[in-house]
Amino acid sequence: MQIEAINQSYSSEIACVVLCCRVFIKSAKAEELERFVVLHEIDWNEVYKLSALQRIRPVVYHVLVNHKIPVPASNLSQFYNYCRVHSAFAFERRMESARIQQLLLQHQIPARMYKGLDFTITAYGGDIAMREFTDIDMIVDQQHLPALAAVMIAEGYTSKQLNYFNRFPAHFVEGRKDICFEKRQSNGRLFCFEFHYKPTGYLVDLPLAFSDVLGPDYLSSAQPISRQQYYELMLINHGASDYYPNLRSLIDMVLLARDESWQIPAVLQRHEQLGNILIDRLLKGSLVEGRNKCADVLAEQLLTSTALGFNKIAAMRIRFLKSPRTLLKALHFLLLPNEEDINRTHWPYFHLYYFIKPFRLLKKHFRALVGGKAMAGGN
Amino acid sequence: MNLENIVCRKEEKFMISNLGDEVVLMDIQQGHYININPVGSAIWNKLSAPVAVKDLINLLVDEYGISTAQCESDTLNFLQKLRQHDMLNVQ
Repeated sequence: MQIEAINQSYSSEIACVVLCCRVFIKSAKAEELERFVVLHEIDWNEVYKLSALQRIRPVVYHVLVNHKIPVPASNLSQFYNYCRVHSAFAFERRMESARIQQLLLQHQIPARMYKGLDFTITAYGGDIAMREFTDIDMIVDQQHLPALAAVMIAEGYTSKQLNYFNRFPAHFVEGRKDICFEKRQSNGRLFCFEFHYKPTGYLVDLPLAFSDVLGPDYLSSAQPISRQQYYELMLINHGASDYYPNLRSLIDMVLLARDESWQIPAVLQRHEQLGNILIDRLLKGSLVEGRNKCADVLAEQLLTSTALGFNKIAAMRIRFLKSPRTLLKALHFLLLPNEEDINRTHWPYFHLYYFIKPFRLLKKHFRALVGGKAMAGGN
Repeated sequence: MNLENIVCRKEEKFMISNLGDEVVLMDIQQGHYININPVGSAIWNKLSAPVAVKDLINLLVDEYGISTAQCESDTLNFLQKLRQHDMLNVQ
């Protein structure tokens, strides 16, 4: 898609953000960006907002500053202030993750860095602040979860999922892919750890475990996760699980692949193809665009910076269904209790919560409906 | 420190990131956050391999078109600061 077409159909601000991404991955020249900025009226507050929604503020700032793009100083400092805080926080998270990893090892709990920090080092040339991220992710074995929870609690971390995990561990492990802990620091910053014991959530129709991608010694290996392994993991994470939710996810894939072509598992090929179509359209400005309904929906969502609604996610999942069994799983998922249900009331058996969840969801929707009407009435 | 010294940045104890045209570092042991301004960052980026101070100054004079005397004074001052923070190897 040409930048001018994005400008005409959407806005000059999203066109500018997309062009920054193209300059970053070197599919466009800085002169093109400079020319675009000079020739169009751009609301830089909107560019900042879109960059935040697309989770690429460090990338956009890097491009704007290093190529001396004419941006009002106040807007540039908006980016600068964010990036400064982000880099300090990234450093702190790296130190804390190394400390926790060491601590877990002392308790015979092997944990491997994953996504976030580790991924950024691999894909973004070692600069941990170049990619927006919030959580600290690690891979662990599910058999170590009770001991891991004890260590994290002893370190002052809390988890909203702990009650669920302690009361119904087997259901928790089946229904979720990770357990999360958080702790607010004295400076107000929040450290959030996500310990993943499988790569995909309950609904994702992929028969892949960490050992399939990283090998049987995936927790003990001294080797860092390679670009190819990350490429597969990110196809699972960005592609199969999240349907490329933002421009950052596309940049991640481009930086990992670096024009290499790897043999990837057959179950991931459709997700790779979808990602490549989006990359061609949005980040490489391909003139020839293959028709693909999913790519149309996702490109629209990316260019309008809106999240996929429930209906569109459901439609997307149905398109990627491997078997009718997954459809049944999706229906099961709707009823499957989560920590919110477990924390709300105390029932002796897990299956009793299946009656609670629909009631809670209906109440929530009813409240939203009433709230919406009240607001409409107020107008 | 003098013009004949060979200098090279010390990276092992720092986490480093580029913030546009600035370099930011965190001292892993002390937890200190260090922000180097754009000119300092340009010098820092030239210190990735060992270089003689006089050659470094010549490079900067060519790049920024400033007087040798001014450049010498500012650069030595900056290198001293790096040394104080244990960010520089000097031979």
